[in-house]
Amino acid sequence: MGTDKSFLPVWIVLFPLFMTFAILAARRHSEKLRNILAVATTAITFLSTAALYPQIAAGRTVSYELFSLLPNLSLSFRVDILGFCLLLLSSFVWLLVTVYSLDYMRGDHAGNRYYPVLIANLAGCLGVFAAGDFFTLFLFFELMSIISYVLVIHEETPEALQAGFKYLIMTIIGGLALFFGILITFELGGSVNFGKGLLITENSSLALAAFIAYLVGFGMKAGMFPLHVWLPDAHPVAPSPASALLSGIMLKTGAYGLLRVIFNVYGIQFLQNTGWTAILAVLAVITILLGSAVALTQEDLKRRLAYSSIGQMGYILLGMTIFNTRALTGDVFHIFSHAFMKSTLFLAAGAIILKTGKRKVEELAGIGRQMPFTMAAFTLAAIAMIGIPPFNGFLSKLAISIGALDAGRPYYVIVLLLSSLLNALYYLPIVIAAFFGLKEEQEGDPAKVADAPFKMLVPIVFLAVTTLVFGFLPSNLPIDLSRVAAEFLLAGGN
Amino acid sequence: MFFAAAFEKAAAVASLLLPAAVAVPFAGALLTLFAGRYSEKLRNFCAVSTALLAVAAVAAMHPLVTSGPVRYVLAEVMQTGLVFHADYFSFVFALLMAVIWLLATVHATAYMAGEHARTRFFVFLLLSLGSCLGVVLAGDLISLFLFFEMLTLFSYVLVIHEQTTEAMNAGAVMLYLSIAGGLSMLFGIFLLLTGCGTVDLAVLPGRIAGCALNPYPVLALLVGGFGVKAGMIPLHIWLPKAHPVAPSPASALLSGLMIKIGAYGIFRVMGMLFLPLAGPAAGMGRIIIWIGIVTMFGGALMALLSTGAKKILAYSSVSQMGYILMGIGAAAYLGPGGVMGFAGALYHIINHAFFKTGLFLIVGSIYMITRELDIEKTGGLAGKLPLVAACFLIAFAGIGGIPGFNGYVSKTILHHAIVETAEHSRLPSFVLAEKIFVLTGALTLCYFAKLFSGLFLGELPRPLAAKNYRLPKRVYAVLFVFAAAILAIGLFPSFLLEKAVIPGLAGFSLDAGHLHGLNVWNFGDLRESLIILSLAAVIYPALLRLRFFAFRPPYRLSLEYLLYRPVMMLLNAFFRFCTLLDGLLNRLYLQSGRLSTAVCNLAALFDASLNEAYERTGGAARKLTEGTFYFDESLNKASEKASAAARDLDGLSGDFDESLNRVSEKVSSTARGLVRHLVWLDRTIDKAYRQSGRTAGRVIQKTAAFDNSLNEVYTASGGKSQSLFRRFLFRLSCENIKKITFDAFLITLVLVLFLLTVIFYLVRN
Repeated sequence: MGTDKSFLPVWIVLFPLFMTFAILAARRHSEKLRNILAVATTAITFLSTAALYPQIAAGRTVSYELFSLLPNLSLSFRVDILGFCLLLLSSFVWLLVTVYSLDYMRGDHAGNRYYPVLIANLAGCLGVFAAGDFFTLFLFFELMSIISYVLVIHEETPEALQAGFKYLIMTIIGGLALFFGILITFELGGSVNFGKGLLITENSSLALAAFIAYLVGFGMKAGMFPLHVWLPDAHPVAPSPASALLSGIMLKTGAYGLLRVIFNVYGIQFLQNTGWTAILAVLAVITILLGSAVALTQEDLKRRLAYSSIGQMGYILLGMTIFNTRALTGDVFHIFSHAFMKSTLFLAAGAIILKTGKRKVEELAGIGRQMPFTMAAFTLAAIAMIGIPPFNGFLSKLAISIGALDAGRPYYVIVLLLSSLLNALYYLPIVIAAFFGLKEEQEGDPAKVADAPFKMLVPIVFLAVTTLVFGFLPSNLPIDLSRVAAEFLLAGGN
Repeated sequence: MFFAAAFEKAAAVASLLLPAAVAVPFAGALLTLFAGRYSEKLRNFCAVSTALLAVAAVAAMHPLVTSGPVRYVLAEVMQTGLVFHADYFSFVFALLMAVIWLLATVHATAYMAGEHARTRFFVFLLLSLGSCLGVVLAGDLISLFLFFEMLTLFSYVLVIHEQTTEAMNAGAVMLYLSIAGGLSMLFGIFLLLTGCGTVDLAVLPGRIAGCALNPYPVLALLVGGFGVKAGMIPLHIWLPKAHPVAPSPASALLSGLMIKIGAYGIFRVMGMLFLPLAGPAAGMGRIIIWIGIVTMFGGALMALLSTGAKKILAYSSVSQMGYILMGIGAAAYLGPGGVMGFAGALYHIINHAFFKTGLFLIVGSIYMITRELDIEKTGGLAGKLPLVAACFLIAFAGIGGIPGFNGYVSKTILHHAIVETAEHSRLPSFVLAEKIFVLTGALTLCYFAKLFSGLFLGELPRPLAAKNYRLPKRVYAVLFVFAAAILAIGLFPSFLLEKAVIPGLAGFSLDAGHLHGLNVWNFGDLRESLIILSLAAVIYPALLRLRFFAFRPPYRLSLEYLLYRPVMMLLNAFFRFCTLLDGLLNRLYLQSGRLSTAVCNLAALFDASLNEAYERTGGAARKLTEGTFYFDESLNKASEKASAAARDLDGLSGDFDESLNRVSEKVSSTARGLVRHLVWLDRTIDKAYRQSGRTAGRVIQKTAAFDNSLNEVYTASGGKSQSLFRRFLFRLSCENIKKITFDAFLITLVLVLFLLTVIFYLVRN
């Protein structure tokens, strides 16, 4: 495990940040230029991230220290296998979502605001995953959180503003808690850098306070019970591509942060001795059951999806409390799976809203015949969500469950299976209504509503196919990366 | 990958035929989908030839499986590997499914002509065939689970084909119950996987005894999961809803074959995986025997009480599955000596597939003409459709266990099994079980007699007289094949026994010795059959006389009401609780925001009253200073006057007396004035004191008022949270943030910062 010095991580983060200003400037000239710049930025960022692959695959980490602020406190970037997983995933989904946005946001009231914010958000998100220390992570975490406020309130309706306000307050409280935790870590460990061994090694009440502060800070972002209340308000009101990113990618920054806290700050040994992960495990179980159960009672399609995200984030939070390779492989793999599945679902929901204006579940009868490709993609993702083989959702459920049983915790499996049943209960009625809700003769003129435009369909279908491909193919990138990442984390995460 | 141990080499021949047989229907379904866009004929041709090809692919395995198990591993697909494995037992199932599917598909080409969404039907029919073949040819439990779930999803589309409200509801019950069953199965699979390190069907039986595993929960979970598909009481409730609403060829396959997937699973689990564990196998076997008995009797009873022809057949399927379950249970209970139970169950699975599929297709053929299947609205069809009636009678004799027809053979073997169980265990309860078995045989005859007379005998109702009673030739052909099969098996029972049942059981660790040359044509068995017939001959008229067939049990007695409704209510309560909790949490956050606003308001009030108090004190002091200044001035004036008087004294020395007089007067008046001034001063000071006293009083009042307002705020917030709490109890709805201003936001921030600082210092010290 060596470390390479390379400017590439810095480039990945700063390039979109600079391009934000370019896009801001471009909007004065033409919409077309603005759109081309946005897509080009995400594409180049994705390719740059992929360019890290040879080094990461060779088991090396890539780092670069930009400048030092204080002794032991600097602005530094460092990409290891876990960070790379999330960088690749984020930049990939971002690219697809940006392509999707071209048609979705056409003629929108504030497209000139949307694209720069979208790209700045990418920079923030990638900065979190590429950060080399908690201080840098915190900077980009806050950048991302605050900029995504603009995405949440994009529609500027009263509900959107209210939801955005709630989001803002909670996010800032979370940020403060996170800052508090980082402060204590710095005080106790003398450094907040990753990859230099464990930061907190002695049990003290201050260490516990830091753990709880991290739980609050990152758990807030990850939609952990009882800090999830902003999520079901904020995700549905955002424009659908933004919802896809909020639910699919940005929630994962919380999970990523907690993984870092567990494996880089405290370490497995310490947490096993103190038993603090039990707090996270209990909250995760409640999150899973609550999210799934409440999703069932939601009438609004996107709200249902948002609650489903809460439940699915619970899987990820639960998985990281089980310290064995299988569970952690499943955990990291579920980060991938959920990103693919939930993005598909939100993008498909967006296509339906754009084409028909229908937001309620009960209005969706017969939509499958009008928008066959969109709904077929939705169906694939929904079945993957339930965890039926051979989709990727099944694999992550399988791996986490087996890991839980290996660790002697069969009740986790019961929770996961119960949640699967609930997933079936709230996803399948949508699919059934869409395809079998109406007989052909009851339907109106099918020519009235056409399927989504091509540029929207491509990302939707592509993402939906990934749910099948990454579950079925014997050796695919996400599962291999997850396995290596899990082993890497268990080996100490350095 | 996840499970390296799962890929142990099982001694078997590798053959691509296995995945090919499963893939054929899937590929055919795709082809049928595209063919359906062009022409009906091409599509029907595609569907039938796909089914035919599937039969060929399965039949081609015969030479391989006779010499030993065949296997094909698509390693690491789905990370756990997709394992196909066929022994003779799987082969029997696969061939049975492929052949009967072919017949039903041929029938469906005629039947579906009058239905909607035909292409969808054929596509999903073939997809279901592929899933069924996948289940029986799967080599490990995870591959099996994959196809099992696919079957659930695909057969759902067949069930809801009509898309009526009734069909949709039935489909929903089936779908969710099956998924719940699948999840229960999955849990069992997970437990097996962690306990034994493998779920391979070929490896597990040799491994099971050495596993770190509690077998009871695993058995219960697996049997429960498969039991849903098998229509095992009390998990059967989806079956009598779903089977009648599907189009008849689909019902035929659902009832004839797809429920056998459940039986297949229980067979594998009980007979193969867990048989080496004698204790748990026997314990579970005993439970399954009784579940089987209850299922067979309950199903028969419900069939007696139903009037829809397809509903009667569906309940009959439940009842017949009870026979099969009982056989498996008896075998598991008796262990290696329980070969009779397994043989009977397997034989009955084959027989039931023939007569039940045949019966559904017969009824479906009638429906093609009459569009009506309620036996209270049909009748007298024997004259119009004599050949159909004859086929029905043959199937009737088959399912009724009349000697010479196929049901007689399997029921006789099953009867041997239950008698052996009763003898072996010496438990009186099993003697009772044997009696119920015989009684159920009689009831089976009764409800089929009722069904036959309802459909074929009596007057032809007026609305049916004008119909065109002509059926396509291929419909008759299919029905004749079924009738012929039933007769052939019944007349030559040992053919199937030697070619299917005994080799099929070879993979199980059973002693199949005394099955060879088993003769069912002996006096004892024929007498049993005669007893059943005469029992039926007594019961049927009695039931008719008692108007039992017209009896409709109240909903409150149904299993749905007694068992599923409470479960649903519990689940609902859970959902509501979670929603409530979520809303509560939301309000808690809102309330904490309001509380901090209230605290901030209080602080502002305190600040204002402080300000006022200072202002008032200042005023009082100013007045005091003013009073003193006045006093000083008047002193000044007095002295000035005195000096003026002295000057006067100087100037007017001549008139001393007068002036003295005047002076003294003046002095006295000045003194008086001085005194007056002093008095005034005194009063002013007094007033000043009083003023400050009053101010202090007012300050006190203010403070009291402030105190009161604090009090009020507390009571108000208490009342609010109380009323809020009361509202939670009755109504749940998410309320969005209202009336939170930016001030409140800032204040919250400050409070949080404050709180964090406090925590920091507290914790640090």
